[in-house]
Amino acid sequence: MNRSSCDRRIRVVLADDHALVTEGLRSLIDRQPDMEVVQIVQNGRELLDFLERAASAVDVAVVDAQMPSNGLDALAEIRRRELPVRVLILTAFGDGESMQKALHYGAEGFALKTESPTQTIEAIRQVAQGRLVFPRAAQRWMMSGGRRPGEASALSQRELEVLEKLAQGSTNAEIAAALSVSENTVRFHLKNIYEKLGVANRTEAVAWFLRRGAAR
Amino acid sequence: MVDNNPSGVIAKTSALPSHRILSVAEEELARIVLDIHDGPVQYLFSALSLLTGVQNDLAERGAPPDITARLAQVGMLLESSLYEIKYFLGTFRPPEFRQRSLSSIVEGLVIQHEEWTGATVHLEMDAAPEDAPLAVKIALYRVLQEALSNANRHAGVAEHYVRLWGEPGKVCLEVADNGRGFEPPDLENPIESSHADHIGLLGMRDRVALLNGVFRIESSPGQGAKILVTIPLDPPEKSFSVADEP
Repeated sequence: MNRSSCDRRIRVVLADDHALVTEGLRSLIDRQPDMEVVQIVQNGRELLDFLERAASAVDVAVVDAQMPSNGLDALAEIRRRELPVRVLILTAFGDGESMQKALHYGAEGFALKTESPTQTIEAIRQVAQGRLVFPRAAQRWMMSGGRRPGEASALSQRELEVLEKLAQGSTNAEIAAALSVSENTVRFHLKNIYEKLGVANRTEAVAWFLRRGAAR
Repeated sequence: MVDNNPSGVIAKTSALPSHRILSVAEEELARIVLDIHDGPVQYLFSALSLLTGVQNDLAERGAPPDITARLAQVGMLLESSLYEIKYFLGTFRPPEFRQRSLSSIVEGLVIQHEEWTGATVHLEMDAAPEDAPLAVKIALYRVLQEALSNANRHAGVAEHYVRLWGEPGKVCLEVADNGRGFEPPDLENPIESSHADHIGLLGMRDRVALLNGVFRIESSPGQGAKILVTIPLDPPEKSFSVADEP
């Protein structure tokens, strides 16, 4: 999202109150040639404090859903404040409710502590590339009307263009470059898009766009 | 974990005894699930992370094959443990019954079933009451879970049908498939030898009966199966033979 070139390493924040988990993940991430851990925090409040200061130095936040001052609340707050960071929810709970919530609060990805940590590493990589990383059934649900945002006719042509780029996984900077506008303008369009569609974040806007495409 | 009541299912003391039974059971489940979450899951996930690191190190240094093989075996055992825990947690962790609507809870369960089994569930919800009592939500959730699990294990088909709808004063659930079907057992007089085979059906029937509902099975060999449940939204106060609190 903040990466201006493809060859820079993916900068990761780990947010989890279990030190064993963050240390284990850090040791794995440090071995990857294409990513690095820039910060470890233990709860939602610390995560928000850090991102408020340094969101532009972070690509992906790996957020434990169950940590104190809850990971999902922190995610909602990240979206509300429009902090430019992608979020991978990490949880032990792979039930439907957990997936629904992660989607609803606007996560870009969902990884499980009950699966191999190498899958978490791969999910970080994919989220950093702008993909939505969710179990297949959850994605299907999302695109088939699990949420009910507004109507397309409310969007201007320009807003539709921004949305299309967003759905292709483009960053704000990439959208700005493609449409020859500033990043601030892109953010302005996104804010309007969210409001018109009645969605809370990028994930939901993309889901709306994909669903609309599928319905045609 | 700081939330002491993550499931939100602690029963009000004013609730009907039958309602309390259902919600207390869920509360106990939530506690067990939390303990497993806070302990073994974190340890196993960390152990697997560290082990993967060690394996990478050894691969770079050219470790003896027998050590590599034994470590791979350790990794498989850890992954298998996590895999089993994943299904345990997913099956038993109560959703947020209090905070969430009936339709949202049903939707979540359907997503989970599809994800775990690869089956397709055709879900239809029509005027389902959003503010169903806690115990009704719990009973419908657990019945749906068991019925979908049965359909997956026994029906031999990958398409399942779920319908949830409201009628005046009650809520209805139907779970159906076009699979191989079975001869419905006499649940009122189960013979000793078949009791274990029908423990799931008996459990569903009992949950529904606690709430003065109706539980019906429609099936015959080769003709698919259908579970039908109707539960009143406001069960009469003194209709249960369950001792009240002193």
